[in-house]
Amino acid sequence: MAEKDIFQKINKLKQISLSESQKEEIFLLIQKRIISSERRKFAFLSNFNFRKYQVGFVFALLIIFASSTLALANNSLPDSPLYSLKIFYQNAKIAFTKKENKAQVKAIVLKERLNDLKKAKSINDPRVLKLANSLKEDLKSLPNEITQLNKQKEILKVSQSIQKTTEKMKEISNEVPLVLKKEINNALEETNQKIYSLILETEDKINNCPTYLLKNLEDLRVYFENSEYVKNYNPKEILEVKNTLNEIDSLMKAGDCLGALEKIESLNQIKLIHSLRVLNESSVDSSPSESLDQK
Amino acid sequence: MTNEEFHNFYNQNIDKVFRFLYLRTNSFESAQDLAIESFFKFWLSSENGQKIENPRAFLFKIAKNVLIDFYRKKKDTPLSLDELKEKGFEIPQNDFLKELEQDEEIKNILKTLQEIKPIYREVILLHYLENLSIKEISFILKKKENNIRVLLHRALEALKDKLF
Repeated sequence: MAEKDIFQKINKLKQISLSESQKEEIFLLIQKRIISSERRKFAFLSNFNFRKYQVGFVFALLIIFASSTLALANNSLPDSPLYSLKIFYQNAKIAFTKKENKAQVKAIVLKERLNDLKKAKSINDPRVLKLANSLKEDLKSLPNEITQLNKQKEILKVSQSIQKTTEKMKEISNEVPLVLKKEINNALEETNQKIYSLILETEDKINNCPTYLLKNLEDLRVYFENSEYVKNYNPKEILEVKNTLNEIDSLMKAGDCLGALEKIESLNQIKLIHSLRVLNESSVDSSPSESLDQK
Repeated sequence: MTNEEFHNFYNQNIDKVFRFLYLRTNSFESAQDLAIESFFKFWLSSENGQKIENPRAFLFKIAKNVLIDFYRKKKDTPLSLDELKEKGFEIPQNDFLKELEQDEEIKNILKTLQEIKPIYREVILLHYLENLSIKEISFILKKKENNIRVLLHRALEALKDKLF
């Protein structure tokens, strides 16, 4: 039998076919399936498993709510109920700032509050009065905040920066309603004076290390410049001494008197050791020599 | 693809796809369900903007995958009508099934097709029954065109041996 016969036999299978009504029925079922899938596409929210993502969903809602409230509060004025939230946020910002920047951040926050006070519409609102009072108190506490710093150089730097901020605050306070203006201006004046005196005091401390230190430095210079005294020093030691002398000078100029004192003491130690060595050598040689200590 | 285009495409191919599925499931109901699934998946792909070069070959490929899923779920091999009857399965009594049962020649060719290798049966049915080109079959079965030609030749030989 030829291949042709096989094909004919296979073609008999074409009898396996659907009637027109069956075809229509299947097509209707396909359409039904398509429609239900489209419905499902849009009804995904109704099938969304809220319980499964409950925590995340609530957390996301809270974040959205908090950030939008904060944004609203940020633009609020002292007579608005949202302003207390702004105060809370500002206080938190101050609390989380590093110790060395705390006073500066506080000054900036106080400037912002003064600016808000200037814009407040109802001056007699208890919230506005409360803010004015707290502003005065905070202004007065600023110099104390500065003195909490450890280094004199930092105190000077922060004081100068805060002084600039308070100068700007003075300009703003001129536009504050009259009722509040006087008291705020007084508080500002008082703070400014304290900061100014702090600057002077710190500058004085920096520039005027105790006079005995200056004298000590001068004595050391005279001693180490005398070739007679340093003849027993090797060149490396002389170089080291010279460098230390320069360092002492710089430290004193920078107001680090304690650091300068330490270096002076180390040089005195070197001096003492050499004197003892010279004394020892001279006693061995039995030759008269002048004790360096006498000098 | 518009609704009209889809309807035309359906009318042109439903018999072929149904036959393809029926010959591999021996069940009118299953073939009908799988045909619905195949056309639905085809529509989804075209709606999702998938590039379809040869819609007919693509539809057969979908039908083939749908069939694989069907057997994966069923974990059973396709049986002939007689085997199904022997196992006590109730075969849906559709009009055309009754006619098929009465046609001895069809029964014989079906039985012979079951006796050759499944891949031979596949290429023969796709090529000689559904008139799919070598290229289309190579796309559906994921084989090279040359391999399909060789398979077709061997399948014919095997079928000749069994028939005569």
